[in-house]
Amino acid sequence: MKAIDILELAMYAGRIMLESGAEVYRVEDTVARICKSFGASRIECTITVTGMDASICYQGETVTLIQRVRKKEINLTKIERINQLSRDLAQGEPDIQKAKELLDEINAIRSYKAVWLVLFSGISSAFFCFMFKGRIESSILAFFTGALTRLVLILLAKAGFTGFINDLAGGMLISFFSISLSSFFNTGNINEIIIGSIMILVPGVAITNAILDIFHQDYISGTVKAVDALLTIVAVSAGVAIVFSLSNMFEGGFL
Amino acid sequence: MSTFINLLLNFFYAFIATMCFCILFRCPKRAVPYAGFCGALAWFTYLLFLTAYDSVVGATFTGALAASLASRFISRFKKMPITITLLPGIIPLVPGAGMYFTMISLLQEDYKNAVYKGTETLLVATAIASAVIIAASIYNLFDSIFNKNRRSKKDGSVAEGEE
Repeated sequence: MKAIDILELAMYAGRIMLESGAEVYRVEDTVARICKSFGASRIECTITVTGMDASICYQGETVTLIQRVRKKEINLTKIERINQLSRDLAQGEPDIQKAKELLDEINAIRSYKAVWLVLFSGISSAFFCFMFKGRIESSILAFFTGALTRLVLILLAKAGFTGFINDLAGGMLISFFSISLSSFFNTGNINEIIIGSIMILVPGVAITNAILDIFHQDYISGTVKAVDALLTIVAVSAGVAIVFSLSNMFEGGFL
Repeated sequence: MSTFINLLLNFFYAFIATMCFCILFRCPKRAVPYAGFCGALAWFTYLLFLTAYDSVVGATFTGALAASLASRFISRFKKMPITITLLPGIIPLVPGAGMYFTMISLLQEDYKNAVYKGTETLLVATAIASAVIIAASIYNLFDSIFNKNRRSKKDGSVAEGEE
């Protein structure tokens, strides 16, 4: 076992955690703990949401590794499993080879099937509509708006649309579905439907996490996350506004 | 009486909505009901204090404090990292609608309303974040007062990964 093996294992674990949406301080903690459990000394790591670098000293040899990280979807199961693994490693349970296999297995965990994502997006939209004092008919339409939007977004993501374009499309879809559904069934309030179903798109958690990172003195990560959240919300609301003004234009008059 | 029923109904709504978000975040199955409870507690406390304070920011702070304390104790007794109950737990409070209204007002060139809504959104987000941090401090204080004996017996290795 060489120093580079230990560091590679720790960085692999850290990368999976960052991609799954763990906080920066937790990732730093886990990387340091894994290195420590194999007996490395002088562990230093600086981690931001876009990249991480760490250096450790093990048996007189010092190695440094840099890892680029890109954002993926939030996956709390991965975070829990790696947390468990790092605790087991501290007890000296799996050896380094076994730990690497376990990490491969954890990295292969995917999110739930598209059907479930669509269904639960719809249900949460409906209940958010209730929470914001929506009436029952708005809530039912919010269910369909949320579910249909998620369905189209999953299809778009499969076709290779990600990031800004996906968010823009999400906003447009939400206002399109809510306007057309409520005018087709001639019931429900467009505003209530949109507020309920937009919760599945807006990065409320991201903006809160950004401020949390800044409070933890991870200024770079906090700023990066805030910018990311800002871009998302601009895209989503621009999408909503575009469809709104288009529909108003057809009915005569602007926003 | 009807307000009380309304509160209970809202508790139920938030419970369901949060549990759905757990699926979207691929929460581990055993954590889903606990996370749902945290979210429901957050929304319940928020509504309760909204009538008392008449201030969205203050009520959000209280709700987030309740949710993060609950998720801290759950993560301690159920042995899971706090993120997996806390992240869905604050979902009902996060200023999603506020961010949306801010941007829509900006696009409609209604700058007065945009500044009003934007400031409120930022303050709500800050309130949630500070509530999470303060809950961590309260929890640590509680931990150091009530669990001194247990901690020293186990040679200080308790609560690893709990933070």
